[in-house]
Amino acid sequence: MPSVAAVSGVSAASDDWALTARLVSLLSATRTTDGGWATATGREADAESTAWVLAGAVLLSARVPSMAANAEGALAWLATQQEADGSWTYRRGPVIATWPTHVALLGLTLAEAWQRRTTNGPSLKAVEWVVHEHSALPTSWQRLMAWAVQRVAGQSQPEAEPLVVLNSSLDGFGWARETFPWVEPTAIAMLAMAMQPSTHLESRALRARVRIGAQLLLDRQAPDGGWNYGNTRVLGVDLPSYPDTTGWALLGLAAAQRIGEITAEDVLSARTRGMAALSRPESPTVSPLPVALELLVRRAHRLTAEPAGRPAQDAALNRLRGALVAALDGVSDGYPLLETRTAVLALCALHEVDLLADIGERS
Amino acid sequence: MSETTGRVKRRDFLLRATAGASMLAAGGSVAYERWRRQHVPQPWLPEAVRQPSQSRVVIVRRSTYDVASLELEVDRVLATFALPVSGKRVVLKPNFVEYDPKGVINTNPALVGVVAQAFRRLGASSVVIAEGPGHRRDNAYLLSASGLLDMMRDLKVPYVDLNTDNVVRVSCRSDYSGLGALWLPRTIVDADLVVSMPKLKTHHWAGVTLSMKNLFGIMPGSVYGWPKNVLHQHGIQESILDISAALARAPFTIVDGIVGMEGNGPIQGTAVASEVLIFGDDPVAVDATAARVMEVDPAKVAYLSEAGRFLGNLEAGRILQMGEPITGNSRPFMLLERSAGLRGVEG
Repeated sequence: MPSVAAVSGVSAASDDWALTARLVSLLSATRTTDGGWATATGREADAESTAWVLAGAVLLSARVPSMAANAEGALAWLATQQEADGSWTYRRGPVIATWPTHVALLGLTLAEAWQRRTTNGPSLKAVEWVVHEHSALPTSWQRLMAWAVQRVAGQSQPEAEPLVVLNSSLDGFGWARETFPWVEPTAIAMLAMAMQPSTHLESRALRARVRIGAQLLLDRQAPDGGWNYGNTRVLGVDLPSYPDTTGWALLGLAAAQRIGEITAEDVLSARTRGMAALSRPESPTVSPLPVALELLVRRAHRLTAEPAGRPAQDAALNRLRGALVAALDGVSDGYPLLETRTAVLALCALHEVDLLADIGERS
Repeated sequence: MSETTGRVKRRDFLLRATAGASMLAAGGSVAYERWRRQHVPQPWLPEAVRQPSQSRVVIVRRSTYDVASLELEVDRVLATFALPVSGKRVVLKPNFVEYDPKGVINTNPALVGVVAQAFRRLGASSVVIAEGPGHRRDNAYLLSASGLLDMMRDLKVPYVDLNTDNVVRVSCRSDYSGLGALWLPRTIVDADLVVSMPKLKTHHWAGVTLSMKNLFGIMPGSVYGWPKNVLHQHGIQESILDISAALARAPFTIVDGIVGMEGNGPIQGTAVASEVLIFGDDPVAVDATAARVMEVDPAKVAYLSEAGRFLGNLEAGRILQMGEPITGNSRPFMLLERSAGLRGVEG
């Protein structure tokens, strides 16, 4: 639990348990009749929400015991939804987007470690699927064709710089298989891979995916220091970052660092600029998601151990409390201000969970 | 897609677009139109065709978002169209692809609220605001920072996040993207009337973003990713056409051009006081009119030109222009150099 004494003027302990109860209640309300969890009440269950509930059940089992009771149900639901090739889609039916596989793998891996089970079929197939999932990278022929089309279309003058400034040769993870790689799916896939047991971490292919993922994240860091969905500069204009994607990118880099696929020196500059973007005053405090991610990033990068770490952590916790109260009130009014994944991440942040605990020791 | 309708693949469309662009550069749209009608088959099913003999578009001149005066104007114009919405489910789809405190990306929340109230007064059984933001997954941020949440709470208008909505498989009725079928949000499929409420903007890839391009935002990110990447991969212009054709009914359109965006739209362009609202029940005709208001030739915008063959009316002669005329209310929206070829007053 957060330090009560450090939170001036706020009875943090009682407030946090009241918030915890409301968040746990919200998660109960999003459980569907088929046993899974939906992003909000009235929706069908989806793999992302259910996988985050599973992850939360494990990560919070010691601090919020009522969460642990969700693990078996989430595991069972995910097992029924896995495709034959090892992947998950958001919901059964549309087999286009496969990004929930990364989240499902993360949840399953945590559950297996918690239950001290050996890696079984579903997660083994999932990790194989993730490692061998590739994004669509333009070939030399496609680049030539794109240039030719532009010429024919009348744009005979060569551009002063590429339309989009990024290294398109880096093989990260897209929202769908064989599509362009983006920041959030890449970072979450890296988290899931870095959490694998030591036997899987011996895989050179897996480590290469994490390493190249880290390179992609560094390449996609926006000029303002944070990350957006994955473009830094388009048509000669710098694009701004978003707090939530900045949080995911910093978590992905922390995961790569923990298993030794990127050095602390390589991370330092990116992290310093990223943290500044994540916590700058104009960043929104109305939304719980970026604040929750900021807190998880602070733990994952072990910033709380630094001299200025604790006050910054406590300030962020206060912001999270305020954002959660506002969001929960919005949910009561029927607005989707606190999706299931955000509720789980907020619980983890509120109870100072380290998403990457044990990683590093295992490798 | 029936072979008898002529199956045209994405690469063929790109070739056509390329050929069209080069012919336009060489000498104008008349030759291209003649060539196209003679040589390009029709990649759509007969039931996708919904071209009225004449479309009605209303331009209203308005310089502020003052709610009281907007209410009067919106009520008056909606009465003109006599939309049968009594007892019906109405879904408003504004443009909240992204939010920038320094920009004018979004449909103004005050206008969205005025339209919601107007449909309630017309007897709609429900009025819902729905959006599937293309860049942002964080609803709490987008809704609160943009001001949309405050308006919705004040008026007690529900909101649906289309990115994570339950979905329904709908077969494509045109074949530009090669997707074959689309997964549409249940909220959109079940709506009796969808009201597309775009901002009047230029678009750095598509040329302009208006009613039809605004429908990109109905596509669920849970299926197509962010920023609707699967659709981009299948072609922006191609996907715009297939999405519009897949809807059971043409959306009604209200374009927020009181303040528009020129230059590097749809996100990083600059504000322009264009001082118009544009209404219509044929999205192609509305978009064509809006393009003309921006002094962009709609026939040179690839997806609009193609939509004018089957989804609605593009030609000025088939659009009954009501309210204010285009002349006197148009202004040359700044275009990026790469889109300069789209400039033109008449298609």
